[in-house]
Amino acid sequence: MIFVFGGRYSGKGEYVMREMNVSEIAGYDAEYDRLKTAQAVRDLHLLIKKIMLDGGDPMAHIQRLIADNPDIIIISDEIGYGVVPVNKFDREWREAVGRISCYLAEKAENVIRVVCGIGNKIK
Amino acid sequence: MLVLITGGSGSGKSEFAEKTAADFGGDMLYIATMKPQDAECVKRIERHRKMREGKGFRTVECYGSLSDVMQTADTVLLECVSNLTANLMFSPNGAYDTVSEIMRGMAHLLDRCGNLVVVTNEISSDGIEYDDGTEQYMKNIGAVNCKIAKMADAVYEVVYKTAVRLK
Repeated sequence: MIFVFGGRYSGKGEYVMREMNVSEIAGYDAEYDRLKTAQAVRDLHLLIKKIMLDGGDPMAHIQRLIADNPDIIIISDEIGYGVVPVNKFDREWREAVGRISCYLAEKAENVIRVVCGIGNKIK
Repeated sequence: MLVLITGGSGSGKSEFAEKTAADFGGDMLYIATMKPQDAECVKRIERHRKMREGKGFRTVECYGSLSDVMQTADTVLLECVSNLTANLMFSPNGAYDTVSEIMRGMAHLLDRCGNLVVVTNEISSDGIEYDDGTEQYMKNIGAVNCKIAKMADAVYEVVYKTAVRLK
């Protein structure tokens, strides 16, 4: 598994397609069966939000995904560089994205941070 | 040479950009893009002007299209992509396709100087969903950043006064 993250609109998807020989990136809202076989999935932060809104456990869901698809490239927005959100759900979501990103970074073979479309391999 | 410098707010991008431009040297032109619309802007402009004082830059203001800049120089310092984008998007006679307009302006500047140093910003890592206009603004800056980075000979991210070379 490879974890790729960076600010919104920083060119992460294009980077993954160009540099990692990926022809198609699945959306976060794709069916689970599709994610199980996908080369890459985008918007992990939104997938986490969707699972939370559905009352599910996002960490368990992501753990299951990387067990079912151990070679997947997971792409996420960096969302932790701002003021603490006023709304409770947004605080919990931001925290969950941070914790799950830490987990993925620890498990990942490579971790890549994208800035201005340039990938910087930080692990 | 084309150099792109990015970083968060207050990270020391300007200082590093000035130093980068001064290292290229020669006749230096500073393109200022912040409109003095209120006291806060005037204060920021003044701080930057003081910082540049005695470093040998000529200053030209550009609140619209970069293609209107007619000066030539050995080294040009353009500061910054986020103001430039805002000026083009939110002015009454703003450019229709902001990203293409900025990239045309970049080509125009590269024709007029030997070295171009461009300062941009990292503004899209707070996880907040903004209104459509702001999202489009962020999207445009992101696209311009990627395009300039692709053309650039060097790209730096400045983190608390430490310049990290990305390319």
